[in-house]
Amino acid sequence: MSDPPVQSRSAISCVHCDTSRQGPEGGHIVTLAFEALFLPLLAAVVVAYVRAPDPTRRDVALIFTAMAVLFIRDMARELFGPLPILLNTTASALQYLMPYLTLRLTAQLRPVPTWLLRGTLAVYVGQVIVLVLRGTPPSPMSVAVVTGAFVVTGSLAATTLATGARPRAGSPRVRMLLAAGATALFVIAVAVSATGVIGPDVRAWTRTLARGIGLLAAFGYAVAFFPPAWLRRMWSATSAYHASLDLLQIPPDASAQQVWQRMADLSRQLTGTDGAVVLLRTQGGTVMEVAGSGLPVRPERTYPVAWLEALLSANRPLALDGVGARTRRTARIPSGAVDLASTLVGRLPARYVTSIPLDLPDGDGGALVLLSGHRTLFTDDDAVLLGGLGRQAALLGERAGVLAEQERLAEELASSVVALTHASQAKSEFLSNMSHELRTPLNAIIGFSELMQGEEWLDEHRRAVPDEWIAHVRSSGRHLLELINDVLDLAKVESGRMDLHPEPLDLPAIVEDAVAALRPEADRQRIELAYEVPHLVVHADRIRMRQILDNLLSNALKFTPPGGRVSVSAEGGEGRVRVSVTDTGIGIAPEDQHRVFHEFQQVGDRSAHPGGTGLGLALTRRLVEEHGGVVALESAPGRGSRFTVELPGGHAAPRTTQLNGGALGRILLIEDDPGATRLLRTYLERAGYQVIVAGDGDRGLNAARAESPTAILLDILLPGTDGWDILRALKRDEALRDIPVVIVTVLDEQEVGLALGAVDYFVKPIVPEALLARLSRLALLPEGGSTSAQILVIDTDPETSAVLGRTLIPLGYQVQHASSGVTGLRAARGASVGLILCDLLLPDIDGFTVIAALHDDPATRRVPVLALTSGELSDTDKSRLNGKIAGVLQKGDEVPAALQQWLNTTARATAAAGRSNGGTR
Amino acid sequence: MSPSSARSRILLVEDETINRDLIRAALSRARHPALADVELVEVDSIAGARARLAELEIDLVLLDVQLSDGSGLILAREIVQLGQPRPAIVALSAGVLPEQRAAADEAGCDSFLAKPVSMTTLYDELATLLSRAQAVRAAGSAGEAPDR
Repeated sequence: MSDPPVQSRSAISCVHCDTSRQGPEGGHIVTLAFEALFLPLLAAVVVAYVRAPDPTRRDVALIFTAMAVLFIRDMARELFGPLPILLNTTASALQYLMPYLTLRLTAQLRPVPTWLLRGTLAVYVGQVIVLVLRGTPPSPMSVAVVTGAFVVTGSLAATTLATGARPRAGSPRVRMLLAAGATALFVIAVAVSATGVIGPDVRAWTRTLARGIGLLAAFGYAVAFFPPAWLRRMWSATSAYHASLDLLQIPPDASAQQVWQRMADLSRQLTGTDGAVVLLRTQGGTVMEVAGSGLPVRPERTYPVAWLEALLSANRPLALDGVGARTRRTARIPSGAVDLASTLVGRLPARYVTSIPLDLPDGDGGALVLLSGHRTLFTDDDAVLLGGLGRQAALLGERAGVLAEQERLAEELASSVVALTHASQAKSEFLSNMSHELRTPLNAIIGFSELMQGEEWLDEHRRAVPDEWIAHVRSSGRHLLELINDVLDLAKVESGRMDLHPEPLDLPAIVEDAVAALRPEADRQRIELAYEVPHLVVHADRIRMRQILDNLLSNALKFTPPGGRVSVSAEGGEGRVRVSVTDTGIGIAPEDQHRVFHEFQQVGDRSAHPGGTGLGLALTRRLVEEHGGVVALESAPGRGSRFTVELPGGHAAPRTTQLNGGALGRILLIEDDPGATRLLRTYLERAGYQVIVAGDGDRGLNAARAESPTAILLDILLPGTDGWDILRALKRDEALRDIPVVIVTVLDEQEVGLALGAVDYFVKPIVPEALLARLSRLALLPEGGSTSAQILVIDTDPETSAVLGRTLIPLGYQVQHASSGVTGLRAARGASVGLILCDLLLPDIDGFTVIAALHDDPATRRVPVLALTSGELSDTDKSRLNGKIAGVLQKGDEVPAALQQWLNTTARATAAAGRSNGGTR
Repeated sequence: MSPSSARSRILLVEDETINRDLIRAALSRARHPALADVELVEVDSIAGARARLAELEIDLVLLDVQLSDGSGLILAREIVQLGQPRPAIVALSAGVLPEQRAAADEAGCDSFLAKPVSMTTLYDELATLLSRAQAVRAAGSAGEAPDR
C-alpha cells in the first residue's frame, strides 16, 4: 500500500505507477473504489478522536491520516497526472513514518522495548534525510530495506497485540485481536505491494490487492479502536452474560469477601488490566479495600470517603506519572483521588487508574478501581457492565450472611426446642416427685386417722387412741406443710416473684439465732453445734438469710451421726461474705455433689436420715442466687461436708452505732440469754441507743441506780431473782420508779406485767421495729434531767411554731424550728432529734415528701413524726402517710392540748396505753 | 413343718420408720380372719430383706419401691426368679404414675397398692394373697416332706 511517486524506482512505487497507466481498466476502477471507500473511514476516525481525544485514538488517527495522504495522492495522480515533487516527498515521508506509528500504537497497549521504538524512529529520520537530500525517489534497494523493516516491526506489533489478547476476555480481547489482525493485514498489504517489483505483469493486480488488503486493515483498526455503538452493546451484552454466569458459579456459602475477590478477578480479566481493587464504604464512614486482583490487598487500611468520591469524579483513566508524584498532568485532579490512586498503583506498579462506581443495593457506595501499566481497550459500556455487576456481587455476598443467619436461627430454634423438651421433662419429673413426696406423709396421716376411727370408744364422743399415732399424724402434717412452703418458695423464685428486702444484717447475731433454734435438735442427736463468726455484715433479706442458715444447719444435722460436730464459720472479703457450715457427717460422693442442689435429689442413705423435703438445698441455692450470691460444696465421703454460701456484704463499719450512740438515750437491758442480748443490743445500738447489759436481776438493779437509764428492757425468766420481782423492786424505789420498763420475754402474761407497772410488753420473738418505735417515744421524755429531748418543728407558719414552742419548752423539751422541707430534712439529720412535727403544706417540697424522705433515711427512720394539718386527710393522703408517721395533729387552738395529750399517752402510758407493739403508729 | 407354720409371715420392706409403724399398727388392729395370726418381720433395706428371705419362710412381701439402697423392684425380680413356691409380692409405693405401676407389674409384683393406702384396701389385698399362699403351702406340704 505504499505509494511512491511515479518517478520512483522503488518496487512499491513502480508497481503503482506502472499499473496505474498500464493495468486493466477493471483493476483500475476497483483500486479507485478502495481508495474512495477509505475516506469515510478516515472521517469517522477523526471525528471519534476529536470527540473523545486520547493518545491511543490520536495514534490511530495519525496512521489513518498517513494512509489517507497516500490514497489521496494516488487518486490525485490518477485524475490530474504527475504531481509536484514536494508533494511526492511529503507523502513518502509519511509513508516511512507508518512502521513507527504502528509500533507506537502497540506500545500504548502492550509493553514494547524502548530501544525498538527509538531505533525505528532513528531509521525513519535517516530515511527522510536521505529522501530530502537526494530529492529523488529512493533506490529499489533502499525501498526493499524499508519494506523489510516495516514487515519486521509490523509483524512484531501484530504478535505483541495477539499475545496480549490471549489473557483478556470480552470486548477487549476481540478488539485487541482485531487490532493485531489489522496490523498483520497491513504488513501483508505492504508485502504484496512489494511483490510488484517482480515484474510489470503482476504490478497491476498486486496494487489492487494491496489496496484491498490495506482497506481491510484500516477497517479492522477502525472497528478495534472506534467500534460502532451497536457492536459495543453486543459485546457488552455478551460480556455481561458471561460475567454474571461466572459470578453465579460462586458457591452459596461463599463469604462477601470471597464474592468481591471473584468480582475483582473477573474485572481484571474482562478489562485486561494489570490489577483490580474493590473499595467499599464501611459503616464507620471510611473506605476500605475489600478485595484485589493482581496486587496485594491491605484490608486493614482505610481511606476517607472524600478520597473515593474524588477518584470517582476524576475523568478516567487517570494517568499517574511516577508513583504518588503530583505532576502537571495530575495537578487539576482532586488531591484525594491522586492520594488514593497512588497508594494503589504503587503496589503493582501501574500508571493508569480507572475507577468505576459500584452500583450497590444499599446505596453504601463503593468503587472498582482498575490499574494498568498501559492503556486499555476499555469502553464506557464495560464500565456500566462492571458497575452493574457490583449490585449482583453485593447480593451474592449477602447470600452467605443470610445463609449463616438462617443456619444460626435454625440452630437457635433447635436448641430452644431441646431446652423446652428438657424443661418439659423437668416439669414432669418435678410433678412426679411432688406426687411422691406428698403421698408419703399423706399415707401416714390417712392411714393413722383411719386406724384411729377403728379404736374403741371411751364414751359417746371420745375414743382411746395411741399417743404415738397422733404424734405421727402431726409430724407428717408438719412435714407436708414444710414441703408446701418450700415448693411455694421455689415457685416464687422461679417466677421471679420472690420479693427480697436486703438490709445490712449483723452476721454474728443472725447466725447465733439460727444456731440457738437448732440447738435442741443438736442436743437430742448428741451433735456438737458450734459457731465462730467475726463481726461481719451481710446484705440480705432477714427472713431469707435465716432460711438459708436453717436449711444448711438442719441438712448438716441430718447427715451427721451422734457424737459428730456441726460448725458455722465466716470470712469477709471484697464486698463479699462467705458463710460456711461444716459437718463431720457421711459426706457426699463427688459424682453426687452437683445433684444435691437440685430438687428432690436426696443422695446417700435416706433411711438413716429421714425427714427433709428434698427441696431445702435446692431452695437454699435459689435464695442465695437471688441475693446475687453463690453456693459451693466441698465434701468427701465419710469425712464430712462443707457448704459455703457467698453473699454480698463486708466488714461491719467500725462502731457505726457510736456515731449517734446514746443520742437517743441509754437503755438498760436486763437479760441473761447471750443470744437474745446480742440481738437486742444490735437492734438498739443500730437505732442509736447506748446499751447497758445486766445478766441478772441484782446487777440490773445496781445498774439502774448507777446509770439512770432512759428505759429498761426486762426479761422475766432470769437466774435468781425473776423479772416480776425486779419490776416490783424498780417500782418500789423512789429514784427508779419513773424509769419506763418494757418487758421482753417469752412469757405471754402481759396483763401481769402492765399491772405491775411496765409501760409495754413484748413477747419473743419480737418485731424489732415495734420495739424500737415504742422506745423512740419513751426516749423523748426528759426523764432523769440529764438531757432534754429535742423536738424539731417543720412549719412555714411562724404562729404555729410559736404556739408549739410555748407548749413544749415548759415541759422540758428543746425546740428547733425549720421553715422549709429542705432545712427541716437537714436539721433532722444533723442533730439528735427525738420527735419531728411536720406540716404537710411546705413552700418547697411538700410534707408528704419530707416524711417519706425521713422514713427512707436510716438516720431518721426511727424518729417518730407527727404530721400537722389544717384540714381533713383524704384516703390517698392517709395511705401515703401510712406506716411513716406516729400520728396526725389538727392545727388550731387545740394543738397544744392535743400534743400534750399525745406525749402523755404514748410516752407515759402504762396500763391505759395497753400493749402497743407499735400498733399505735 | 411344725403346726405353727399355719401362722402367716409377712416381710415388710420399708425405709421410713413412720410407715413401718403404720403397717404394724394396721396389722395389730386387723379383724380379718386371714390376718388374725400374722407375724410381721420388718426390714428397712433390700439387703436386710435378702437376709430375712434366706432364713425365714415368708408368705408375703410388702414392698416399698423407693428404698434407700435401691429399687424394691430389684428384690421383686429376685424373688420371682426363685420360682414356685414363692411369697406373694405386694408393692406399696407413693410412685403411682402409670409407668411406675407397669414397672411393678413387669417385675412380677402380684399387687400394687398406692400410697396413701386405705386400710380396707390393705386388709383385703393382704387377706386375699395370704389365703392363696396358705392354700399353695398346704398343697405343697401335703405333696412333699417339709424341708425345714
